[in-house]
Amino acid sequence: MLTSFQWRWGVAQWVEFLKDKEIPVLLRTQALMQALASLDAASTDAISARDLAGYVFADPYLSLKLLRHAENRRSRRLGQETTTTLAAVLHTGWNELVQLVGASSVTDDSSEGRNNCEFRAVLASSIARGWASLRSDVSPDEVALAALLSESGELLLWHFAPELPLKVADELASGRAFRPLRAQEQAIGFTFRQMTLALVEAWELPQIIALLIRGTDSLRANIARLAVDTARDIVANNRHPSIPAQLVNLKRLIPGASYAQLLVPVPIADDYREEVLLAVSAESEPQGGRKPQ
Amino acid sequence: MKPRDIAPTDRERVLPTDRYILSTTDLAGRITSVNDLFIEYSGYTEAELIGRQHNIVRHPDMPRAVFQLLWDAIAEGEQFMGYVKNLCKDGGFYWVFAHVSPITDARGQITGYRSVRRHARPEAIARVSALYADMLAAETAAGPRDAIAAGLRVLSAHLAAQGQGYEAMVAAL
Repeated sequence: MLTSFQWRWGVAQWVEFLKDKEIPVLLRTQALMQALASLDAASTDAISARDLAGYVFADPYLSLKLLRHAENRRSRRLGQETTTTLAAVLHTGWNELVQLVGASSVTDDSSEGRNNCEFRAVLASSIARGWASLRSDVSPDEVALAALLSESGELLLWHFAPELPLKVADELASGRAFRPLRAQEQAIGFTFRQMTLALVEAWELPQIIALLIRGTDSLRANIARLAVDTARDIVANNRHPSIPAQLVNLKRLIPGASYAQLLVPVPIADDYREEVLLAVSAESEPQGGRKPQ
Repeated sequence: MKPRDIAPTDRERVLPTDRYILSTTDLAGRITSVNDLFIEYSGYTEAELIGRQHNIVRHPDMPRAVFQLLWDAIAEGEQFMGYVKNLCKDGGFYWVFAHVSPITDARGQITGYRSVRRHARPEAIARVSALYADMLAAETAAGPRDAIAAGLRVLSAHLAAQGQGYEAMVAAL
């Protein structure tokens, strides 16, 4: 329960409060890791680092926890920056990963708001990886990690101060705020995005990840931002009418890919997929007027 | 010809489901590029559109408050989406589902806006038309100076009754 002082905290105080907190993991991740750890040696040997990275990726809390863990170790060893989940898994190693997850607190999985936020993050990350791969990105996993961590501020608030995102949800449902960003400012005095960016800075995450999370500074960052927006729309409505427009915007970033390819990472029903492809199909025809940018 | 000089008619043009209108504007909302479908549906030539404010196609049935929401969102670097009734040069109209997003340069600065507008489902139009009519009535009653605030109050009450934000309402239409 928040104190009366905490209700008045700004983003700086919250960052100070949260930056050294032990990050929890999802209950299901802990159960999965316990099950994997209980397998015989031959079976655990058969689990590849990429398999493990996949499990970690499905839990944005653990992804963040592991990235920070790997980065903290790196600073002592002066090694290369950790910019992907796979690298974080490799730096940590199997035994330490099991130990880390086993000793971790778990986050409340009965909260709908928290579950939504977690789902958005994982979906955004999966979409971002698919899109980045289509432009032969130097590291699609970096773009995916940035998309995954874009909701870090809100995810931490759901765990450590759920009263704040709940107040934002109330503000939005009250009709007093028309957009989520405005509801956040009105209800708690700052936006979740401001919180994420301030935490990224306080944690001293790798520069490239920080730049990608900001979402506007490069083509890769724009892909991450579009993936976050698209994931948000799909969670709101899996037949969201904005999907064709998102695709048109994306095509300008990845002109070499077809619309059908760009739509592959987007999890929508087959009939809606066809509808979306039909909606954008005519663009390839010659168009007059001054060409839109 | 200015939009206020055009007498609106009941002649509706329905956008096909397989094409979309695309245009870009500068930061002040002046049109910088258009595609064929925009020219075809608006009834203006390319020369008439380029350099003009995008509100050249604003239909008088549209509440001003909706455009306030649009500008609030895109000016802060966010996307905006919504259903919009547009006015043709000949007085007819066409409904669109509009998605407007900022265009940024290499440094992340917003340099303009891109609007993708496509076919709007009739069920969504029917629902949003009723809301827009209420908002417009409130705006008209309030007078030009307080029109936007009055329109937003009606929208706010509608959203509160639904228990959802504007984006969630649009997503659900």
